[in-house]
Amino acid sequence: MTEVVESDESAREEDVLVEVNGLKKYYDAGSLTGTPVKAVDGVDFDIRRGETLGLVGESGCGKTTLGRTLVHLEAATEGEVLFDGRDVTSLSGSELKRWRRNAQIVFQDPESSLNDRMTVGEIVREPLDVHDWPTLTVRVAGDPDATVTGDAEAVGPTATGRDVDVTVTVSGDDADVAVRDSLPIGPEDLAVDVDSGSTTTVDVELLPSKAQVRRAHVRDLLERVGMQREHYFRYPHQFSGGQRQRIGIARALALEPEFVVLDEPVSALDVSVQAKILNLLEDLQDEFGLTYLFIAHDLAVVRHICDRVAVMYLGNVMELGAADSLFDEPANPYTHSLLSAIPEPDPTIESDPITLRGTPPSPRDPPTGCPFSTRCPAKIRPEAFDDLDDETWAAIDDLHRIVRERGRAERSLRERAREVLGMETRFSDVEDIVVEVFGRLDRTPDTTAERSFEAMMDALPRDVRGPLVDVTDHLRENREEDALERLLDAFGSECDATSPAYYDVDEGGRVSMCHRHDPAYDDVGPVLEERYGDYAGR
Amino acid sequence: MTGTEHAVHRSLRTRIRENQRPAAVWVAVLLALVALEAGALVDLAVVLVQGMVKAWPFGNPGMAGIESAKAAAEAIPTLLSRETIPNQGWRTSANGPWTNTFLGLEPMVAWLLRFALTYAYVGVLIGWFLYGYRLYREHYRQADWTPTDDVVRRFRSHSWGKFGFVVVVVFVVMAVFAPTLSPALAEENIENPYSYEMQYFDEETGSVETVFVGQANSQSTSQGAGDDNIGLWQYDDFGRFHPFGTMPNGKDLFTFMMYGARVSLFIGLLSMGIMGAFATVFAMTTAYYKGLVDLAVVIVGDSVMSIPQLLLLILAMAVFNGHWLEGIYNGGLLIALVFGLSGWPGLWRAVRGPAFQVSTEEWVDAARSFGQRPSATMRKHMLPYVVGYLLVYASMTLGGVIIGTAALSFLGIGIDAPTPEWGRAVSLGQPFIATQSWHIAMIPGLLVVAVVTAFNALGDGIRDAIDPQSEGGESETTAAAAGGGGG
Ligand code: SF4
Repeated sequence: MTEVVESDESAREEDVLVEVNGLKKYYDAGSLTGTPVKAVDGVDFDIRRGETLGLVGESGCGKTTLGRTLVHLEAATEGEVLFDGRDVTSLSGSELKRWRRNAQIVFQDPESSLNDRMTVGEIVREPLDVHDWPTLTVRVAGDPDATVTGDAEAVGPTATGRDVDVTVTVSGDDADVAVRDSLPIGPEDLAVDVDSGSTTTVDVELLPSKAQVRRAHVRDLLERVGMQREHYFRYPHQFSGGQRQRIGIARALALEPEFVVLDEPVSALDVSVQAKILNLLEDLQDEFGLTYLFIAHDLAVVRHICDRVAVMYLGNVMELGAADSLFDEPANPYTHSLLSAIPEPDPTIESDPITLRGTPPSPRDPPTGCPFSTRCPAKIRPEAFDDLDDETWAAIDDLHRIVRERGRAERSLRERAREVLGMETRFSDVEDIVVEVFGRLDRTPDTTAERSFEAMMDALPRDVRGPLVDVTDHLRENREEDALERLLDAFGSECDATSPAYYDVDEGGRVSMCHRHDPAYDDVGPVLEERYGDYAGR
Repeated sequence: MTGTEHAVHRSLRTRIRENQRPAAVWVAVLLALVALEAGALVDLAVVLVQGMVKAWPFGNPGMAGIESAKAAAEAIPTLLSRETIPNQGWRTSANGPWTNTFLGLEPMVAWLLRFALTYAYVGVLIGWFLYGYRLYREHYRQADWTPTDDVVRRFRSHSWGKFGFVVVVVFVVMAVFAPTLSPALAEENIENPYSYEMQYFDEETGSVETVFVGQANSQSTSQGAGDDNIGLWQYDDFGRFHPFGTMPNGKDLFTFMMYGARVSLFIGLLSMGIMGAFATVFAMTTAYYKGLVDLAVVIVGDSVMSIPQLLLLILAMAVFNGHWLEGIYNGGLLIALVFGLSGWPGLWRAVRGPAFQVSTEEWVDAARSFGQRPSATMRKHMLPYVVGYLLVYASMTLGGVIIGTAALSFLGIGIDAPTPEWGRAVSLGQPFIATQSWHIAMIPGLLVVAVVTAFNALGDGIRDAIDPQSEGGESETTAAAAGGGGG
């Protein structure tokens, strides 16, 4: 269970459609403002053909950026995305355009994802027009050297499925024509002319116009996603959110992609509609053999629809594995916290959620070490403080976050002036902050008494008090850097020092990024139990 | 693919072929309506081309052809023309009947009839187009509802906007039908009065006499003092009717105003076209690409905006004095160019916000995700949302251009005499504003105000029609446009 992942050979054996290696997406890297926003900070995972991979995390964790990078709406800063073994991050021009047929995206907000000035038909049809669909690829059965002329183009013998629109079987000067099922035309719509001279030439003419074929395809799609064929000439305004989302799905499927990124496809919809859309997505997946990346923050939805789940925090994948086992036995402390926040369906079971304190750090300034270290409920503590109580630790962690925040906050000119003049600024209330943070500990017998800074300090254990006095001094002088350093020096651990590796946490290939999976430390579950008792979400 | 599938998808042409009657009737009536006034329309086109060619520095190619085209245009029978309803005539004896006027009516009545019929004609024409739109919606459009329907509906209930629309139409008709609406032709009355003769009944000699128009003008002046004034709605001694009175030099003010509308409208529309083209292209590209492209346009735009427009105009008029460019429409083209090339940053800034907003919509991302070309994305997915704002701000800026042009003429550096321009009328009449000849400056001034207000009202109306949430921002934008366009 506790082994560093060496390679993903086993995953490769399974039919991998998308492979993401060390993908990074930084915003305004190299600009004058200095530090970039690290929206996606090096992620690796695979998506297998035909599966649904869930991507969950709080808003701002980079999951949407990751999804958009996969369909090339954002250019990757670093790393590669292998699609069928081919790196697509560096594609451009006509190659990129060709590839785009394979990967489409369904957007979160159905209000914003459809152009209100176009009819439903025009919206769904636009991708077809852009790609001059249908290309009418023809395979001449048993004769790879045959030339194809007319409205169609030849494809090699290896092409299968969606890549072969028409199959022509030649016998003498006659031809047997078969058309792929999902095209809205039949053999009677094609005029096929075979000339078997020294080399076979097959001439294929499309009898209806391409525009007619496209419109028929759009109407088929509308019907397929639960709209009506007659809705072609309606405008998006005339439909509800759920129906608009169906139109968006029809547009994403128009080019018959293999891979679809679903960017929170139901989170903007009424609860009553959500289930219908989810069912539709599952049906479509079965029918067209689609591979989904399902981005969501609603874990119940994810559990319902996903085969595997990746949990993201601050641009990193914290844990990734089969949905069921990940939900039943979360390994990573962040997954634990997320799950414990789901309200218990059975109200008779008493359990306290692990409340995550504070907000995620800015992706412009992620913590050193583990990305979750500023908020982690299971964070490793130095051995020297083994018998320090949990409340004091919570206070220390709070102070840590506050100091980080202050270091980031820009000081306005006015505040600097006030500082120079020795006036009070919002940065001068250091003692108040410390009192506020540690005062909650309720160590003094008389809680009603006004707590002075000194009294409160005296109540703290000696080995805590020392560093705290230093920190307060640094803060008073506005040296946030030094204060932070002192804090880490005294209370920091492995979690603050090094970024954890991925550990295999079950037989199913689930991985989790946490030092606690190292046998040198206690594992997550027992630690959380010790610290939080009977917490929820286990 | 089934047969019914084909039947449902029919092009507009097939749909018309299947239901010909409404369309055929509509087109036939339209053609008849246009044929009635074809002469006037062709004449306007010829005049515009002629203005261009006249000033062409490298010889006058095809000038002869244009002259003959003009003659041909005048020969096209036109229902509402000076020839059909003449208003210039004379009495054969003291208090005797009028000759040479329409049905022997007195000049005022004949002119009024022609004037009223022209506006009635335009009213019918506009009504016919609205009817055509309704026919299309009822018989030929496949969608039963489009977003445009809402815009039209909202505009129809916007009385301030409709007021603006009506006044703007009145103004445009002035420009287009100037020769028909005027009591006299500009060529005869204003530009070359000593090349044309006219007849009148002279009470002293008791007979019909012939004089040059110029001579008659010099005896019909309005200069404030004594009986030296032909005011509103008066005849002069030569049996000529002056709806707005005469100018200090005896020329007809109404004629001057009608032809002046042509110049104002030409400058306004041309400069608006230039500004609009720049603003559209820059708004689309900056909103789509953002970043450095945006920064570059901001810098260029700010530099252009920092140049005082009036100073630039004065400078341009001085530098190009005598240049062929200055000759086209007596400087009108040059003024329009300066307004256009210096005014686009204002218009661009006005639509930059909406353009950026629409560029963040997910449907723009969607278009990128399936590989739509940037130019097509801008045209299909962004421009339709910006074009309304473009119209709003363009119509408001247009008022500013009209004021600016008038201001230049007022200062004596704009459109050269004798080409009529409203600002020059204000300038000429200014010394007499406190006298009985107050009409010379007052009427053009009021018309400028009315037209500028109307363009602002129209802009307001369009804005509220395209964006129902924007109500209440009225005073703000009006002030901005007035301030920005002052020139
Ligand atoms: S490495 Fe440390 S901070 Fe990070 S999740 Fe594990 S225990 Fe928490």
